[in-house]
Amino acid sequence: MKIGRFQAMASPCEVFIDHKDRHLTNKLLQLAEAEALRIEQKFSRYRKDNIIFQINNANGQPIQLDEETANLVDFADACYQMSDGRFDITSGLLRKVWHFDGSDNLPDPEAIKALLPRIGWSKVKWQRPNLTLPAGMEIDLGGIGKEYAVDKTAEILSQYLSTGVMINYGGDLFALGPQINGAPWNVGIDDPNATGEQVVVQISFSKGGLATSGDARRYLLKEGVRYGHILDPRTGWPVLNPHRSVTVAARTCIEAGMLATLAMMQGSDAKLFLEEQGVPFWII
Amino acid sequence: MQLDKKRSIRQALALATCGVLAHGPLLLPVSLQAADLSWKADMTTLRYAENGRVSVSEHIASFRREVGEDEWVSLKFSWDAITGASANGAIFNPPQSGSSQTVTSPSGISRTYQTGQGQTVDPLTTFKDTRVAAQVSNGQFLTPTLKGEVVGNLSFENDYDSYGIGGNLSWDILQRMTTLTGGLSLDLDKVKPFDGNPKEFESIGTTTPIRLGQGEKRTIQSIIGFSQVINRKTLTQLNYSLTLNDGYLTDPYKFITVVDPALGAPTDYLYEKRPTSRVRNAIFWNTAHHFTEDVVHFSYRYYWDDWGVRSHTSDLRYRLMLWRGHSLQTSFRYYTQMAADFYQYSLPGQPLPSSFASADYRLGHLITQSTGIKYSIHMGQQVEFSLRADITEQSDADNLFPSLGITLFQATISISDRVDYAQSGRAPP
Repeated sequence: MKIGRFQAMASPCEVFIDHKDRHLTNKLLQLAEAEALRIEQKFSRYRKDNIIFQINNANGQPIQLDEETANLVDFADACYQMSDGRFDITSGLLRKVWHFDGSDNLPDPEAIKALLPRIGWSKVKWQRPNLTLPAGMEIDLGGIGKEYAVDKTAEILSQYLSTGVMINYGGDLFALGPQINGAPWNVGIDDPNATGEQVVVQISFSKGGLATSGDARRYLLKEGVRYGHILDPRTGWPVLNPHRSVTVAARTCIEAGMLATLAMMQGSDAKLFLEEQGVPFWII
Repeated sequence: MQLDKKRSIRQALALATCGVLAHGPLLLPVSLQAADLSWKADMTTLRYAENGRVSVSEHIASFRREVGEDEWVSLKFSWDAITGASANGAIFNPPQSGSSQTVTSPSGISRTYQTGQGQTVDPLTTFKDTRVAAQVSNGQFLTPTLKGEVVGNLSFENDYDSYGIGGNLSWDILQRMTTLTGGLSLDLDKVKPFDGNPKEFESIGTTTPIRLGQGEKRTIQSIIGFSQVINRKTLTQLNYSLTLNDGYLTDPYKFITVVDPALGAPTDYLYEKRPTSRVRNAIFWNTAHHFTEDVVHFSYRYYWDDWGVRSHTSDLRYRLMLWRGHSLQTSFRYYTQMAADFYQYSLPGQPLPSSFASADYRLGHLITQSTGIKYSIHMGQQVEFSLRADITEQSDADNLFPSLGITLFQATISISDRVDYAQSGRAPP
């Protein structure tokens, strides 16, 4: 078993490859890291040399998207539609007023209200491959980027190996078949009350995606009310009574991640929502 | 309506994902569809042997396959060969030895006995029979938390046929921590000895016996229960079952000995007679606890019926995980039974009983103790092989029937296309 560790997309990344051939293993770890960095470079909103920067600075002019970006925007569009606007890649602007630093500094409701006209996917004109973002609006693919990178890496590695591969980019996972001895991968769910220190549940899984959406790390506390960092783009305010942590297993990491996110958006109804979806899930 | 919309999110998402990850070999929707329909096959062969009595060889093949996202079908076939001798109710150790007579015949072939003063009948009847049985079931998730299953089964022996249908539901509630179950089944059995059922309380030595034709037995069984996740490592389960039997419940091969109280010797042997209805109840409680790796199960069952039979069964199992993929399970079982009201070891001559009487040791005061071990090996994730051996000692608390030693050996191989992580919808231990 060889484990490759690197930093990408502001997260610790790990790739486990259970294979005897060291030469192949090293090559696959390099491919994985290269793919993760490629996706980070291409879709990060912190860079000035990528398509996201171009879109966000087009000043109301249409931008023609390449195939891959258009595919992701299509996916984000579909998620916006199916979630009745709860998932929205234009909601990143809310970060300007919400600072989740563990303090009790709630933003000025007027400031939130003032931002709302600049938020809403329905205001964007998307006619593949042309995207026209009204001036002052921004998109951010951060909500799906890591999961997408996990699945893309899995796609690449699956050309070489059909089992014995586990990819973990900042807690978003994909297992490409069990370990060589047939044993499933053991994954712990981080304890929201002691994050990074202990796990609360051990999951065994062999194939498919696994992702966790959490409210554990970042929040504001005001008069006993926790304001989690899961914001509802329709109101600009955090979702009420969110669970601390929702983990979902699905075919792919991107589906698992989206189901976990949409479940968090349901607040205390997350369980019901996931039960209705009929997917394996773990709520803490 | 709400459900349909929400449920469609998963499908819409799957579809949208194909647009993003369409080019990889990973996500060809067609092949995924096929791979998602998992299957599992089990083959079991077992040998049950009562020391000096009945032995049974049984072979079972079962196959289960998903036929849709939330639907599966299973088939099970079994074939049993039963040979040997079983206690027929005639008394053991008759106080006066006479010319005893053993009759060997396949079950279903008529036999003749001579009875009377000085004649005794061997308390064991030798027989041979073959049983074939098939079961088919279809189950599906009616909603994400409600599972339904319908089952049909058939079994045939030379002298006994059985037909049954049933259904059961299980419903996960309270965040899937609690599961409620309910089931109902109906069975129709035909008891058809080769030359018909005997007339109850008629002497087995009658030269012109009266034969009654086939007997019919109907069974309705209902079961309700629940299981509860106590914590991540402990699961408990409680069931109640109510079974109503009606029809021909007598055993056409069992006798009861008439003993002359003055002589203390058998004077006659009569066919037994049981009521034509029976109401049976059972409460079953089981708790399983997972340690870090090992698993312990404890169960207790209390049974009672309107024939006066009461029984207690306690069962303790411990599964010890050895090294990678190997495990050893040990089990201990203790069973005690109080006899049916009409159970009698022998009859005191005239007058004949006015109601019912049976000397079948299985309706008597029984104590059964079993010890077993089972060794399982996982070969990869797809194949599991196990060997099991049980030793049972069955004794008559009244000390009238000799104790019986029973051994059971079983080998099972299970093959599945994969172990699916998705089968554990709740937090694993």
